[in-house]
Amino acid sequence: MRRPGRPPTSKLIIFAVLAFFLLWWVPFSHILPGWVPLGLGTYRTYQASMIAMWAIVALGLNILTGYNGQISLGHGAFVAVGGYTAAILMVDYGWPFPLTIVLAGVIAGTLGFLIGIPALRLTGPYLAIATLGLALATPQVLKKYDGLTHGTQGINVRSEVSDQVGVLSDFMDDVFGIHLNDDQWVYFLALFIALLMVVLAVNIVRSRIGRAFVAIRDSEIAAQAMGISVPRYKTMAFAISAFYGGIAGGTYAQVVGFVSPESFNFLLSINFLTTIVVGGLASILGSVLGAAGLIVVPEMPGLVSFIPGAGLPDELSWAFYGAALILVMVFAPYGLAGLFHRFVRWVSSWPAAWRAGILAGLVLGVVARVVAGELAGAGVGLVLGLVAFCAITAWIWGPALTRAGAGGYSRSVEALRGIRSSSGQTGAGSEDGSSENHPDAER
Amino acid sequence: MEEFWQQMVTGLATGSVYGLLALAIVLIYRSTTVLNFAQGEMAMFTTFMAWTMLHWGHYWIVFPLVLLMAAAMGGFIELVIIRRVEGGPILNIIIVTLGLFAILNNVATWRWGGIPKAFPAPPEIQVTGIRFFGEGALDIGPTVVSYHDLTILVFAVGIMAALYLFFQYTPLGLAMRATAQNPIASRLMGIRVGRMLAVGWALSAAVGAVAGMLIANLILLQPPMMMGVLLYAFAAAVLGGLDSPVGAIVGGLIIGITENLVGTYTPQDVLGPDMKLTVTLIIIVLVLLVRPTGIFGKRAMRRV
Amino acid sequence: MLQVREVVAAYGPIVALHGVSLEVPEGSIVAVLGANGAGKSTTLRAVSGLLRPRSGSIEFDGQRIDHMSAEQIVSLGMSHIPEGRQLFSEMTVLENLRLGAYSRFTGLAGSIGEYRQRRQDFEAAVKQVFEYFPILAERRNQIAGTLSGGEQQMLAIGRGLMGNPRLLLLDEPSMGLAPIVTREIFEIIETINRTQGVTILLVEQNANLALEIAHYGYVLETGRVALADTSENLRKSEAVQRSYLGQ
Repeated sequence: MRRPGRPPTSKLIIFAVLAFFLLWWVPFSHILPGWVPLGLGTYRTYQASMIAMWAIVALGLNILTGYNGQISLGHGAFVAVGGYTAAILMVDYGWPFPLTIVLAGVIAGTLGFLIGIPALRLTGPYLAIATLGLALATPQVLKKYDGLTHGTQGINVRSEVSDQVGVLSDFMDDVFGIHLNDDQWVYFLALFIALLMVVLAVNIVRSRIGRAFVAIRDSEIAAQAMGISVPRYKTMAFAISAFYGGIAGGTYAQVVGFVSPESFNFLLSINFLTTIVVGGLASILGSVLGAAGLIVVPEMPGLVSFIPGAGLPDELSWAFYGAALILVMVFAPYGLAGLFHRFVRWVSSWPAAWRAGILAGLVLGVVARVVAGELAGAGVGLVLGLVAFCAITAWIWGPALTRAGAGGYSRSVEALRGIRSSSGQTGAGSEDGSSENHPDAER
Repeated sequence: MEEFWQQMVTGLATGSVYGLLALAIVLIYRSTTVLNFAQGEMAMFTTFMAWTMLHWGHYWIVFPLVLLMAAAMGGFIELVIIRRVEGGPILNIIIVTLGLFAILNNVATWRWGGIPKAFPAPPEIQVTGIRFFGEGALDIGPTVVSYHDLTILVFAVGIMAALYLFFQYTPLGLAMRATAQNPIASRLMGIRVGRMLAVGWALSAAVGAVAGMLIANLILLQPPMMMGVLLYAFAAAVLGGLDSPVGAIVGGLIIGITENLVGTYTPQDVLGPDMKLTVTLIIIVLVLLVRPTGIFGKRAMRRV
Repeated sequence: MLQVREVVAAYGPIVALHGVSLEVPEGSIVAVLGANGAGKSTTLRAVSGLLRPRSGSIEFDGQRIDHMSAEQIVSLGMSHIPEGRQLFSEMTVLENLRLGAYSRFTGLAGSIGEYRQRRQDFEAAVKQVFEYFPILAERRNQIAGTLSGGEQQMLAIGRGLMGNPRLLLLDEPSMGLAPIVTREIFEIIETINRTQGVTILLVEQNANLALEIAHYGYVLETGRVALADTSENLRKSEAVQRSYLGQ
């Protein structure tokens, strides 16, 4: 019998597993003996920091594009502003790093607000290309005004970071006896900030502000008729998403230790858009999954050589990336988050005994492979870990999910798609189309 | 003063090529509201095919063949790839074009990468006594214009005019316009909407191929060749209005000229040639603020 | 001419028609009545091929058409004038009419003679439409989106007639129109049927007007046929009077 007000056991278990994974496994599992499966080395820890950072950007961009419907191809600019603000403050003015990150976010957010005002005049593709212009201009501007930005050589933040981190590290060592290296420090920093931003995002999205965003996206005119101030919320969305970008940029300065004009070119901005679309528009989970994909998948092309019998050259790995993008869009129009939800719903329809059995089988399988010494790189390990994670989630959480509204909402979205496709409507005539692209608006 | 006119002329020439690629982008946007990010790579790919064919044939034989091949490629891409995501969210389709970008770029690098190649200029041809292309230049007013640049400009305007006539006065053009405006009603008229879309992509690819072949002569032929041009082309299409073919060419010319003038005539330490792109983009954004759907774009009327 | 048998149609998981059967004899006007959401428009969409039925059959002149695409069905001599007109609002009146004739004149003309014949047929069809709707002649070069509601409906019907159809599907022609205009249009519809022998399947919420010109009528309720009778009997029926004729 559950006491009222206490979350269900299933959710507690999920929380516990996640906490264990993020707080201990990622940064520390490399100390385990080699035969333990899915042990992650320090490089993986660094990767996880990158994932955390890009997840922050993705969250921000998703708020703007997924929830509010304004397409931005220029978010790299806000990340650049954040990164440079933090770097300049630390190197030229000796500020402590937490403050630099906060200020990075604030300055980027203000810039976002200022850009959001003229953006009110533009819609859809016009806004997209205008923001692309922003992304294109960023490296040029950064190089030109080198009095402030140190020009093409960039700013090296490493030593400042190490100094400040060293103080904290000594403190941890003396008081708690825990010794952390640089990689682990930045990981925890990035993780902490990312978690903060996720909680913030969840709160925004579920609040009146979030609902206003979605209302505006679905129909500006109807939103206006309901009394929502469209200009106010649209600029707010820009400001918030730019703030996120700035925070991520500030964190980037700490994690990578170096900012330069070319780190923030327009390809970065286009990658961010790809991240949220592939991850899942208007989905917090989607933002995180997309960011994970962005970091992990470029390593995957090496796996091209694993496709049996194809004998395909490694140089074609980007072509495979492109093909993968196309396939994902064709088969998972709601992105990875959509796939995740579909998977969870599917698995939770299995009998419990089956689920337990398959999970056991997976674990045994991994152990067997490791014992046989055949684990082909931690990339595969990561994938297996993800699958196991999904299986656990589905097994424990599945019944709760199917009872809740999530399924019902998706069904109504599918019904709407059914009407549209039955009446033969193509994309022409709709706006930016992201109204259909959310598994459920609140995740 | 002479330098000014020289810059204008150079700007018009490069602007014509931006305008042609912008025209290709507009063609696809008009029929499907999709921004085809793979437009440049498609043009680059067909230009490489042209380069290969030039080993065996004369330029003016290869040229129309390449246009046909480009059209086939465009239609094929629409039929096989784009068709599968056509009914869905626009952003998804854009990601698909990004995927195409990656594929085309990678395959081209693998097949033709390495040393950049030279691509010949269109050789001189004489039509009813009038010289097109070829060497030499013409004295126009205070400046000298090469036949080459002049013909590019004529080409761009000519293609635009031909397309205008096609869309306004032929049944197929009418059907394509109808499909772009109202696909449901078009089906009820007996128009095969899918076929119209494929033709749109085919036309667009052909126009892009022309742009590619002309550009390859100005800068060296290599896989990353079109990436910068693509961005300028998008800017031109947006500036002129995404649903206006005339706007695409005009936008391209404006950008070509502006880019050159900004490079030369702005204060070097504050702006100057390093900031060419930035200033051009700022000007575009300013124009968009005054006319949010581009110079010639139609104001979008939304039915409540 | 048209036989619809036990058609089940759905939009994704939402079933709109639960086995609808109706018959449209050649040369007649058949009305399909019912409240909002009863499935009237869905029926027309299933017939014209915009919506593929899940089960059941649709026969046009003895030929099964339920698995054909809308484009193919048009060339068989059927014209669907959809709900809300669906004009090409950025094109002129003439261009809309030209598009209406698209299915008749596709493909390259075989010879100069055939080309001339086509032009003649086209001009004749346009003339016929202008005879029915003189106001359209005045506005022939005007952009369709700037016409009044009534004129737009006239253009939609005219466009539908350009293909020389034998069966005309009309979806709520009275929608959004003033009563006088509606009456005028209905008179013209009746004239088209009488003088040209065009069979008409008419979906309408305005039961009064529809039953005035129709020969037969079907009443749909939540995707099923509730009543089927001659229009005279329907007008006299108490159930219809109460629910749909406001008596």
